[in-house]
Amino acid sequence: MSKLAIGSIFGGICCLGLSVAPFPFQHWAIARQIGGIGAIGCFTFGYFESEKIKSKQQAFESWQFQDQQKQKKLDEAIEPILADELMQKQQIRAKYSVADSEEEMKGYFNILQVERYGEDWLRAQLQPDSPSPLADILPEPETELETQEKIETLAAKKAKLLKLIREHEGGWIGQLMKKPVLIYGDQGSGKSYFAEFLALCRHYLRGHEIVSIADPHFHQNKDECWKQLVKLKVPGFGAHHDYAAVNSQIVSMFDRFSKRTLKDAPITSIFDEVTRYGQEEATQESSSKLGSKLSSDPRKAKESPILIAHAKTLAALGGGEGFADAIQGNFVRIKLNSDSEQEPLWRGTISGIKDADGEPIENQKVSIKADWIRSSWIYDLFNQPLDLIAEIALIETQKLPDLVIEPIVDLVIESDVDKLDRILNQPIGDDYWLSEMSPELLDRAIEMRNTQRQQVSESLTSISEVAIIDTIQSKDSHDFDTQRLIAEKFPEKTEKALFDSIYEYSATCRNASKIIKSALKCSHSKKGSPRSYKEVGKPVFIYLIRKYGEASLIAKFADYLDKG
Amino acid sequence: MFLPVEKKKPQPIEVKQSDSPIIGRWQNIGNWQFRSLCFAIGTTAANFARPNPQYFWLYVVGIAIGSLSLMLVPPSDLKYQGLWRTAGAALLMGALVTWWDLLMMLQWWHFAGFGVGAVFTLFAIGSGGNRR
Repeated sequence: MSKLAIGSIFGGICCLGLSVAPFPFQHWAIARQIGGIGAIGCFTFGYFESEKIKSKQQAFESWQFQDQQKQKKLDEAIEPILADELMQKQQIRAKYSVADSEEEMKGYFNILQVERYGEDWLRAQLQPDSPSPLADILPEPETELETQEKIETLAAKKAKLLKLIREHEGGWIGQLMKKPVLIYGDQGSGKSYFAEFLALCRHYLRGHEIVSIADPHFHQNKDECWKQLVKLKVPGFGAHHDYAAVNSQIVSMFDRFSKRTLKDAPITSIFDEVTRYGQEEATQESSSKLGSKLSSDPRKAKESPILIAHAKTLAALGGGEGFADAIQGNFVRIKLNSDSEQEPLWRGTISGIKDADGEPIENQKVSIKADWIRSSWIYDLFNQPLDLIAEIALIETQKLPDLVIEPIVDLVIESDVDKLDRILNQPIGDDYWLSEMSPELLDRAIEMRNTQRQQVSESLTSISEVAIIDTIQSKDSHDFDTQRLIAEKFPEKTEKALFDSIYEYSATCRNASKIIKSALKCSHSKKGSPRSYKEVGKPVFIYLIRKYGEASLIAKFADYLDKG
Repeated sequence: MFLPVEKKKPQPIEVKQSDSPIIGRWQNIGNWQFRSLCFAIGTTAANFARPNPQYFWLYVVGIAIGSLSLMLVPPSDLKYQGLWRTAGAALLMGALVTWWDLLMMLQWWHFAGFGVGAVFTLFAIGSGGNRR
């Protein structure tokens, strides 16, 4: 309390006493009046002083209250976040716990597998495949499933096309995949269409890159006979009779002949209207070399050009007798026919291919009537949805004979692994185990097995030693001592009654010392006394718990019992 | 009762701050200071009235009006109503205690007359209150 407040009260009371003092009024009027005024002053001062202190205290408490409210709101806001975090921690803990258990189970299972198969056999099974040198360079595939599906699809498509080619008229189309091809014939005989078909066959079956189409009528043909190649983004040159552009492609081809080797990827180039090259100024010079170059260079440059010309142009290409001989050996020549309406007959002759004995075949009659010898058919085949391919795959699968797997009955005596499998009611195949196994895991399993064996042998040794030293007789004598101790120190109670008392306390208390103090009335302060904690309480407690306690109770005080 | 009544949204419960024992103690001290002050005012006024007979009734009326004002016109705050009533009584008591030598001269019939007058006054107030 404030000194000023106390002083004012005291002063005020004194002044009041003076103002009402039982003195004759006539003689003490001034003293009484002064006393009254003094009392008024003291009490006024005291009143305002106490009000001031009260206001200060109120302000302080108000600040404290607001602070508490803020803290409370903050706690309320944080509480759900903390709860969430706690939940997450619990989940993570549970996850790790499950992972640990799995790991442990796997370890034990591995040990059993090692026992079953032997270390050497397992190591032989787990030889790692040599890693591909391209593995680090090549990008990761999109997904394993997608890639596999694509491979299967492409293989099925190729198989289908190859089958058709092989079965068509002795498989002559199959002989057009590498050699330079000259397709010639009347106007409207379908030369360009067949050239496109051939280029697509090479592209999809042999992986040829189609580098260019040199055609002075490209502007007219790009939506007709070159339609599918244009879809594959093959560049066209020479549109609107631009022979200079055509010439550039001839020169490029010559350039490739001088640079490329047999190790390069195969390519196909197409030259249309070759008949005109010798007559046009822009291509006159290069066309004069065209025949000789094409008869000698394409093979070593891994290039397979397709030339398209009109009838009777062989002389125009070579310009000489020597070339005519050369072209006969190195070119496959296909002559296609048309009717008088300049419509294709889809028939013709082929020269330059060879029979089974390597003898050249001349003027073999061929037809390209079949529906599948069309560029659009090939393009659609290799770019169609997966359903159609699945059908093909299904047909192929149906041809396979059904496999009947006979169950193998094992009459061997049940091993530890089989027992474990049976107990878990979830048999685990060896293949699964091998796929899960790794050399590191195997090493660890072997190490664990060795450690366990060592531990077992050690424990057996220690047990035998202990058995010699600590006999059953000594244990009985120890129990007898404790029984005598109980009879001496707790004559009024039975063992069972003492245990019940301990059991009652143990329901609410986990501390053995407190239970001994409360239930058995033994304390440290009573050292040397009849109920000493160390000499009486502790051994009696241990004896009673071990004798009468259930497993859960013994587990509860396991640490204390072990220390005792 | 049966007219549709717009339901008011439940207002959030505002937690109010309650006074601590420290504030209560200082409030109590302040209250007794105030009563003592009024008592001292009554005493001082009576002491000033004795030697000035020409103003005697002025002081008497002043004390009476002061004490009655405190007792009958307390502040609206319930917390201080009791304080003001007791303070008014303390003012009157202070004034009367100062005249202790004169009070000794009072006879029994003065008290009896005061009692009868009080009863009649209460009766008069009661009958006036019932008039319609």
